[in-house]
Amino acid sequence: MKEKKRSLWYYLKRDKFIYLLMLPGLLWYIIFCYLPMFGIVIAFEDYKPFFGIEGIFTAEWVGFKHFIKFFRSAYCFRLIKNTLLLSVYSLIWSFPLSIMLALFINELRGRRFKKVVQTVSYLPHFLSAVIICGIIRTLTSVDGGLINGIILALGGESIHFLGQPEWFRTIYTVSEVWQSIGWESIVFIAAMTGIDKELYEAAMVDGAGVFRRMWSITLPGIMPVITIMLILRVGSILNLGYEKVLLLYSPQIYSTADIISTYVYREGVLNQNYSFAAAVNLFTSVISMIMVLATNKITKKLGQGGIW
Amino acid sequence: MKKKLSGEKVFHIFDIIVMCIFMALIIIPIFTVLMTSFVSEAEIARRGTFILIPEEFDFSAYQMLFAGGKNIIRAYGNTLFRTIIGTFLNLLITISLAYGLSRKEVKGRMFLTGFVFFTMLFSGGMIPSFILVKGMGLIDSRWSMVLPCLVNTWNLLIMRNFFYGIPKSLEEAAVIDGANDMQILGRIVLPLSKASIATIGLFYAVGHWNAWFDSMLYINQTALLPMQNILRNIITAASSVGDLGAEAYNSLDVVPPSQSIRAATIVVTTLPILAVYPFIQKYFVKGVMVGSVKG
Amino acid sequence: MKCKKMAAILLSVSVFCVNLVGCGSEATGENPGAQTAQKESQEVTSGEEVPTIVIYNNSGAFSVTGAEAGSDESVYKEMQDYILQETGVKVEIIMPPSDGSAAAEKLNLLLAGGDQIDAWWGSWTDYASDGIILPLTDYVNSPEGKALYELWEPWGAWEGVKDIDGTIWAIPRMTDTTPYQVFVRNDWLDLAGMEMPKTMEEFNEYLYKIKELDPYGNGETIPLLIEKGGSTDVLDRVESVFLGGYVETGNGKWIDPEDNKVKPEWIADGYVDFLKQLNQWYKDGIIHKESFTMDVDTIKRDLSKGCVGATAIWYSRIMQTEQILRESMPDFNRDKHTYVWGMNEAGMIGPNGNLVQTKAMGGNNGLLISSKCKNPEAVMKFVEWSFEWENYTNEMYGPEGKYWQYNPDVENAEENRDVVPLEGEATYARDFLVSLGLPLEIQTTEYDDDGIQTMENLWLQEHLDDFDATIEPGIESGVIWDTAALAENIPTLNDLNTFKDEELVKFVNGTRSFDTWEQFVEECYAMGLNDYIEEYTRQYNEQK
Repeated sequence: MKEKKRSLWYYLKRDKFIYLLMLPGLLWYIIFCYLPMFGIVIAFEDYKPFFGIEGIFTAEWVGFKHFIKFFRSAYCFRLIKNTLLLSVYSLIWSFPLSIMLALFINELRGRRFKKVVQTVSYLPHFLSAVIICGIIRTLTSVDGGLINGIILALGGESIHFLGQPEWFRTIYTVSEVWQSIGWESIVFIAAMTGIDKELYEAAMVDGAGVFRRMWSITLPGIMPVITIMLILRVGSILNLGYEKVLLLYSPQIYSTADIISTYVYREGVLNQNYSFAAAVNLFTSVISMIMVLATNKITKKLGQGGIW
Repeated sequence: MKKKLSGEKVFHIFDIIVMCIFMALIIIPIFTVLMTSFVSEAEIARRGTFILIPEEFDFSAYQMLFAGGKNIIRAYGNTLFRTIIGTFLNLLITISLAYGLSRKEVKGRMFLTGFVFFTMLFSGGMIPSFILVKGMGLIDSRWSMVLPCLVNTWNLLIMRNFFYGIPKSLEEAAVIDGANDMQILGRIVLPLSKASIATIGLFYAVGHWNAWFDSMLYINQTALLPMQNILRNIITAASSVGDLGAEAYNSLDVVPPSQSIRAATIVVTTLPILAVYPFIQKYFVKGVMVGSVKG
Repeated sequence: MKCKKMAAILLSVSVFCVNLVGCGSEATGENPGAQTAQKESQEVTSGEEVPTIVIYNNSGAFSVTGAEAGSDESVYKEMQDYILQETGVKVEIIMPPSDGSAAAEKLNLLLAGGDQIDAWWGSWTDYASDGIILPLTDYVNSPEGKALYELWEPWGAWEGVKDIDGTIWAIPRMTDTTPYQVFVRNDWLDLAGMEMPKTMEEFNEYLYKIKELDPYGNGETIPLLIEKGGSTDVLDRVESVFLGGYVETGNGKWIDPEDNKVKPEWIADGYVDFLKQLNQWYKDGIIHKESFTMDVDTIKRDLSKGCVGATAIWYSRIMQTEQILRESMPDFNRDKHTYVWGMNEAGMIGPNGNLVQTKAMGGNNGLLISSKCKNPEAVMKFVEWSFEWENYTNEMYGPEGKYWQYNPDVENAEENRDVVPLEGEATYARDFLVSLGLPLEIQTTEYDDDGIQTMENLWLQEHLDDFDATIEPGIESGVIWDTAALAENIPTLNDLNTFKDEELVKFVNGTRSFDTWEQFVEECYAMGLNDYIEEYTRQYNEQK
């Protein structure tokens, strides 16, 4: 059966309710996201904020100067590598762990206990980077820090965690996981509520155990949500914010801790270099785009559907 | 039969133990923040910030925090406004758009999804957005904290995928019964999506609750600032002076807020939104009985 | 039919939304603030002659404990009316967030958005060349500006806000000072049986004695507390305290007599010896292992805990925690030592026979007036008025009689300018304070609960002479570096700073051997140190 080719108007008319429903949201996207997008051109200019909107049109055109400056940097490769590694480590730990947490919470019987666990699990989400970093400092401190206290009690030698490059990724990843798994598990828990209860009952009758049910019912049931979350996370891999790293790093651990955004921040400190920041942003956006398209393709090949 | 049951039991005990360990890991660092808010400055100086049990409970931090009561309550009001009105509008627009994007028969669905997703990766930056918001006359208006963040693409796409998860058979059955698009949305999709709407609603609400950057940019009058901005002023006051160092030689006798006041502020800004979660949780009942909706 | 109904609903919803927006912006009209100011200023200037000015007050005055949520509207109005009555200028203030980088971000957007911002604080070199700010020479040299000029004159502060042609671009905010000095625990000196160290040798003797004595116990004593620098110069503060004792020109650029080029301090003669000393201290546990990762909170906590023997950090961290520390030491004898911390007033002598501290340049920060400002006279009028001691005090605490009074317990309180802040009034966040800076600040005298002058106040008043006693930073005195040109002409500046910081710390903590020092300098050249030297030399020659 081949569908007849019909004009767009036909579909607009047929599904007018749905289109009308979408209209306000799409308008919002046009006004608040696409209208300001011409600002990207400042990546190719030497733009100064004082000159406002006209400045964008009148600023000196410098082509790829800022891109070249970033790629020529002796640290370019290190910055990209550090950014990628910090993001990827956080992703490969927190993503599966949050799914596991959701599975475990989902299996809990006592309703009150379940509530308590969930409320506790997403508590860290409310702490800002400043506070999290304060906690990290206290915990890893050489004198009086809990972790070094334990190491000493076990007969080890205290470690200056924040002063050794080899520890930074671990500290960062652990704190990211600590802060985000509870929050991320909420989506999965919500997705689990959508699974038809009859499936579980049928499985129980067939004698499937807990793990069997998780594996064959729960996980496939939340697969669409897992896929979309994964793709979204991949899209933001290079957009690692500077706030947290800035509060934790120091020159002695630059080799593992200096990331794209902190580098741009230091560049910006000297003069309000919005153009350089825009250029680096544009670069990371393009890379993210490629990564998302690739992930999308892979998930689709695996039969999990993607964004498109 | 017996053997299987005991296997199930073992798992549940294991589950509870794992969750208890997990909670302990989460709570201990946060608990110290809570306790710090009850400790006097002298005790912090003596014992450091990692305090599990204070020697003496001291409520002066809270007293001081609420001494300037009117301003704190006003800030709470601003936060509540943006959280309640903002979340409502967020949900309204997000659900409508996500529903449309989730319908397979809608022409141009793929293009529109791409259109929306593109904005997650590319943006014009802060300056054009600011000028836009200013051009709309929203500077120093509460709506500047609501309208520019009306849709969060991340939440939108998750919502869309939740809608995907609704069994198509139900909709088809409804269509056969002669239901139109609106009835499908109202009678089938929305009731079945309570949990997902609650989740996305929670995400938006918490997003509003935690937001400080947009209000920092768009609001000039301190009277309109939400709680998070005040919190940030309190916790960054100590460190920012030092970071600017010689560039901003501040010879004022600035005594930054004490550790306990900062901890108390964190407690005060976090507790109310935590209390919301248990209410939302009633929608998270495991396994909806799909059949029941039909009848 | 139903579709129509739905469309109608949708339409009404969108109309409702638009209405809400409209109401929103209207509603704000009722509140006082910059937005209203803007509207009014346009109306008013055409009608009555009440000029309205808007100042983004990012001077650093915002950090007032308890006032993080801003001033009460009543106080704001009261101050505004008072200033209007005194000067005939209506002043609107926009208060920045207390987080420095957020405050800068907001300023940039306000400027980009074209809002009425008549004045703000910043470095004039960032703006002057693009015509963003007004030259102020004529205002400052006018008869009305005389008092203001003379107030800052003796401090040499105008040098920092003048360009090569002598044009003044800002009202100064800072003066040359020595905020980084060595402070030593008086009671621990007694413990060690020593006098206040006069040389680095004696200082080292004290540090090692304290390390051995471990007065705090548990091995937790930190003989010397140092502090990391800003985000592009990690050793800057330690250099300010000690480098003068090792390098002739102290912590600053210097001219190499061999080629007459301006070079950075870290390749100067003697710098390695300074680094070796730091390395030695690091190895021997004299300085804390976390010295380069410690945040300000930890520093303050350690200071108030009382585990620190000597400091080489920003002065006010000591002053602020001195009282907390003293009160936790019941057997501290105030008759013997007034304060817990003491310093060698003449300054400490380093191995090269010079004073160790380097003066910190006042720099080029100040109050700038926008070139878009319609009424610069009004801004100047307000500023000139503010730079009078009593007005400054009013702007600092709130109106006299209500927020502060002359100390009734002290004779000649008015002459001494001994001020007692009064509590219990509505919150005032120092919105209107624009006359910050040492010249007015030190005119006020402050006493603690025992009736003894507070350490910070005394230090600021009495140790002004020390500012002159310390080494001038190389050639930097009186030279204004054009930061925009530096960034433009040294393409690898950021990389070079990153590299230098990273490697220098490695030398200190021993992960890089001093045998590779020559190699390090070569690597710096490979990183673009040549561009750096050329650009600084160019700018220096231009100004000379």
